[in-house]
Amino acid sequence: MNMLRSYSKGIREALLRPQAAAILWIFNAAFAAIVYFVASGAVTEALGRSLAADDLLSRSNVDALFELLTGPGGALAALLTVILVLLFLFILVSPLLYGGILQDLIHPRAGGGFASSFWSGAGRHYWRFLRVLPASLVLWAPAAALYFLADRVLDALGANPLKEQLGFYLTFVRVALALFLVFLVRMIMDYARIRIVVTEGHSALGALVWAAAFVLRKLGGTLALYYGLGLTALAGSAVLLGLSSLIAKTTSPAVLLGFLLTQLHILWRSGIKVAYQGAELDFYTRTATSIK
Amino acid sequence: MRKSPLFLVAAVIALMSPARASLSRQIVRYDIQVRLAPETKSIQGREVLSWLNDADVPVSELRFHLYLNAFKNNRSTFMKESGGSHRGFKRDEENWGSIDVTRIQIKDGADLTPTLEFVQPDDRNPDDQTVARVVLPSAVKPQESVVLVIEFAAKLPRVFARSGFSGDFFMIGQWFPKIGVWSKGQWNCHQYHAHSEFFADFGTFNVEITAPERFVIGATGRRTAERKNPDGTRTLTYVQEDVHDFAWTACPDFVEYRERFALADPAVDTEMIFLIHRAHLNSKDRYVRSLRQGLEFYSRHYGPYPYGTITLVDPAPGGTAAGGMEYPTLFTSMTTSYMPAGVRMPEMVTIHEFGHGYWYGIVGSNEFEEAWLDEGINSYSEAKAMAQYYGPQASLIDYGPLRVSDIQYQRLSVIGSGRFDPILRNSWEYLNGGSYSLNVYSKASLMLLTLERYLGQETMDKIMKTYYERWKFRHPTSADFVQAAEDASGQDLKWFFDQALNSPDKLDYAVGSLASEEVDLAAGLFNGKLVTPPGAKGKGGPAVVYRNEVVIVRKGEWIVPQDILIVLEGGQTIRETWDGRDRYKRFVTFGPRRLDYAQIDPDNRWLIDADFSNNSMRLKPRPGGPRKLALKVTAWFQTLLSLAGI
Repeated sequence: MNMLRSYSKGIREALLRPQAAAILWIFNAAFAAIVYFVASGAVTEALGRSLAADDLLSRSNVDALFELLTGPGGALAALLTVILVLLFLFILVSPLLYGGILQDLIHPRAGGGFASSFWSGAGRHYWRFLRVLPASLVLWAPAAALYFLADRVLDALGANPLKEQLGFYLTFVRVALALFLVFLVRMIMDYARIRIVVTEGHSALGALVWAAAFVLRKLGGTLALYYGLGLTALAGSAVLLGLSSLIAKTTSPAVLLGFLLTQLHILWRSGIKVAYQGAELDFYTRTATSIK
Repeated sequence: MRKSPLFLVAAVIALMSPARASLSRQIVRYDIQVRLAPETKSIQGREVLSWLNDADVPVSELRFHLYLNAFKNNRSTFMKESGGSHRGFKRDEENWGSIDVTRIQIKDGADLTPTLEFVQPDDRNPDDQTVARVVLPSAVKPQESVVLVIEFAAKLPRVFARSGFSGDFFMIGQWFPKIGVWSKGQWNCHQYHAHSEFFADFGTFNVEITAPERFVIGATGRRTAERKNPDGTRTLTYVQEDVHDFAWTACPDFVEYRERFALADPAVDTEMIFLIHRAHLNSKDRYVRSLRQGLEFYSRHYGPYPYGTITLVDPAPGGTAAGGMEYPTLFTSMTTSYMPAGVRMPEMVTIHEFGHGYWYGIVGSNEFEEAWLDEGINSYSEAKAMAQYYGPQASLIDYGPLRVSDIQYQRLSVIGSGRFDPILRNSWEYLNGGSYSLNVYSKASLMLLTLERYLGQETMDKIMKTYYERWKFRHPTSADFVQAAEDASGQDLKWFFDQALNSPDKLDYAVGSLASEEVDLAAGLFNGKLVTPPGAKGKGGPAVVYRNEVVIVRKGEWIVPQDILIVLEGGQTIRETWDGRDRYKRFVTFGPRRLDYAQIDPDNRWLIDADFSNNSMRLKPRPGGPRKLALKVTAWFQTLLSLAGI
């Protein structure tokens, strides 16, 4: 029941804070804008004023794509580098956004409007949240070890080449296990950040250890909450991406409409991220008081 | 060598020859008994080989392929060239392969075993034992035969390249002492290389295979006899005329299917035999359909399939390294038990490997020295067949949004690779395996597809039929293909083949620049008369004339004639031609309309062009296409950010 209450609380909190989702979307779009210009430059360098560039609008011109991949190596290398650098920077910026959201969830509109609350939390918690990233190696390392151990077991199960189909299905098991572990670690990191904010603690490592213990003790509830929101996110994504796939993107307006739907999708995901924070904070508040 | 026994043997062989007219010159006849010992992964054999000296000089030594010795250690030429891996499969350090000739003698005559020695004609690698020679006590005279009795024992490697075993699956190729080809006064008997292994004379094979009863057997040729033995084994006899090699396979988990294939025109009647591993029975229909397509396509386009059987072998899971290989009247395809229908790998491999039966099997080209005559022509044929049966746009992959044709795939491997080697070169002299593959398979195929577009489908069909008819059951060279092409087309094509076969250069023409500028019309005093620009009818203003300039550049080394399409605003078109020789050519036109775009090779004849994108240029760019792609990349990145960060 705690889980269901927390789920609806999270959704409610997200609905009450459209600005939070908007800020997440703005950050996402700002980083993506750089990629757009670099990608646009790479495509233009490769195809320029060629008729092959026209084709890209009307159909998938595999020849043009092949030439794009095999031709301007420098431009594509630059694009890949930009993507990796921006990804790294975005991960560094993310603690800022987590801090702002949690601050406003715990102390709504303290001392003014949402913006004031959000940015004060962003600055106040940034360094502590940033330290959570390297400290989380204590979780990633055992998760990786667990994965490789399981991988060995699965290897042994699928070692007989005559059981070819089993080997194929075990690939799905591997992917599912990897995703489960990634989500588990990320969920623990969520609770660690909540712990830091609620207790005004300074030890990232201590918060992670506490959060790991908390998640293990409340494994059913935390997982149900996490995957419940995950399914909600998937449902919305399916609707938006389904709508997008209905549009034949063979004209500039149609392409633009498709891109707008993508932005709506990113906005939806941003809202869900806010809901995650709200729901997990609520779950923490309801259940963690008994845990020292 | 004594004269009288040889004459006697020749006479006996002549008497034993079948009454039917041979399709090929019968240089060899092999009568082999072989026994498989699955527990030790080994075979033991006895071979009676008759070899006819078809040349006009006496021959005093014989050379043999002992190709299982390629797997004997890590210093054989094959292992050195391949690095011990093949198509991503690694050698097994505990299961080497080898072949020992325990006795070789002239039938009822001298024991040649003491004279047997290994030779390395290609690279002088003393550790390579894939070619051996024996010295005859007397030379075999022209048009005489020698009959040898050879006893041998072989250990099979765990399969990582073509031959060997995996569990109870055995693919047994290159397994017996096989005589080389006496050609131009010397032995053409190459070592086993990473990328080539086939060149032999035509003849007849009569092979008795003994294996435990539980094994399902398949082999080159037709099964003519079967008997059970008291020791729990059975012996199957296979016979095939007019072939130059023999391979066989054994596995208890094969399920055998037989179907007839018949065509009225041209007349074909053959039995298709499918040996499909239990794990892959869900691919049966795909195998059957694609083999039927291969038989139909090759019979109609090149010549009727001449043999009574064709056997498709589906390697066991774990034995995939034996897949995708050709032998006379038998080949290995490949699949997995979860192959999506839109990924046409089993179909492509089946058609390709069956097709080798024509371009390596019937037309006996020399894979060591001119591999493109087999792989290149066959890749061309395969691409044509795949396009005919699965559509030209997505003949290879039609899976979700991904649609790739066989031809596009071949082109990708050519344009994405360095240009270091020509198509025509000894197989072991290429820079590396990648360079061999792209030249011998893809570039050679693109060369033929380009020639087809240049000459037209009808002429190309005539070329291929001429080449096949002229060289079936013989040993052609590249020069013979060029000659066939020139004869069939009635054109001098040396300019084309010289560039295509003998040079690593590329073909790349581009629209270098476009310009469209208003011309200052004559105005003022000319010879004392005032000249005023004519007014545009009905509009009152001066008429506008544009100077439209198109510069075409030759970026590659190949020189080919080019068509150029110039399109003006409003759709008016101008077609120009250029011999393509200079480094650039400027085309200038004057008129009332501005240039819209220019395009080289508008009919897309030069498929081997390295870059299609630079074949056209607009005066004013249209950003829609690049914008769409850039937005797509942006959307992917946004999703990535959303997954990785907050």
